[in-house]
Amino acid sequence: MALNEDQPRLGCGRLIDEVWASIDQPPSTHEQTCADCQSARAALHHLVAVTESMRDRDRDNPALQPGHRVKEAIMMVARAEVRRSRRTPLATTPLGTIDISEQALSALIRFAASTLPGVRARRCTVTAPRTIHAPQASQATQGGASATTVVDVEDVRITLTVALSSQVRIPATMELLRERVGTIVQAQTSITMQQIDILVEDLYDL
Amino acid sequence: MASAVSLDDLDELTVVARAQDGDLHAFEWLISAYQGGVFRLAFRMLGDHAEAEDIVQETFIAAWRNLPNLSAPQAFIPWLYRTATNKCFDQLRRSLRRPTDPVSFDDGAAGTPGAAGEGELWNQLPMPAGGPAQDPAVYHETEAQMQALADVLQTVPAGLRVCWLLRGVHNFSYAEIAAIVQQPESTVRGRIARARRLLAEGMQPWR
Repeated sequence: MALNEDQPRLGCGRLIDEVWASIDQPPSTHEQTCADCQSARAALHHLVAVTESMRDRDRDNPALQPGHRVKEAIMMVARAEVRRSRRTPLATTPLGTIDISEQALSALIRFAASTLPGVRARRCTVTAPRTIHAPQASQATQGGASATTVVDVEDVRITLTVALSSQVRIPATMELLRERVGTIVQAQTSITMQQIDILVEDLYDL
Repeated sequence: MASAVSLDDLDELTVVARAQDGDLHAFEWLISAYQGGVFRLAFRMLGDHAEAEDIVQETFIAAWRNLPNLSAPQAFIPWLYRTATNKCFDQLRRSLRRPTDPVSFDDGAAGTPGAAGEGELWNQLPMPAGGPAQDPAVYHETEAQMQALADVLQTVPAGLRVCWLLRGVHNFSYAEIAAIVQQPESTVRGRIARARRLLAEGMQPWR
């Protein structure tokens, strides 16, 4: 009881929170006859009704939305800060190394995975057991100041998390998925991935 | 890289996961989906359109920078609202133009205006005509009543106000609110109860 000492009590001795706790139920025998409880119930019902009106009105009120320029400003920052992360060299030419950012490689892998029905690609990480610290690679990269490390193109390994439709057969889909991702990445970048780990993180209903 | 499936057809966790990987389209989708909710929370906390827009902008830029480190996609929404809430508190502390005492952010017990007479006021509430559940006036919403609620809300200490808004307007569970305001669930329950009492009392003339 000590915990409730700072709470105001109704004339009948009940706590207002006790009235609230059963606000969705019909009034109890006590509440049917107690003027204090009836008054408190009416006040709380009223608050609920006005709150619901305000919530619905606010949600649909075009004046209670941020202006378009807010999203534009956020996206401008996001684009400027797109994480290029590590880079994987694709080919060496007389002019330098052509490479692909881990971010672009991940996007390609997610796209490849999403071409299979019942597969939703989530996160993709490029694991590199032999990441090379290669200053010569960053010299060859346009704006390569951030490209401090490169992934060994001979040893690209990825981990892809996916959500699968509950309708698909998981083992067969995993096999197809591995093949599809490997084929598309090979065709688009000439990278032959050494290892494609796929984690099924979630199932979804169609 | 365009996705084979529209983001609208994906589950939200997948969209969050892609944004975590730096996918700009996924991130833009999340902004469209949640900027309204964050804005309305900030607007009801600060009472100022331009300030609420600033909160939205700062919150989503922080989100973009922190998404890769988020432990799980499920953590995104609570994280977003926690960030927005903290930024609202920062803003309230900066602008000491509020009627609420800044020290009463986290606990309205000491700083709550009228807390002492609360019980007495409750006992003076007029009896509604007929049973309250049947009283049509209870459900009759007017523009004036909503404005009155918005005005009364501004007099509720910020720490109580945010918990009440997250529960009553944004439909978060007590556990989710506890994670957002980083307080024990029992504290959250207490704050919401106190805010509810203050609001019901403040709305008394409008019944």
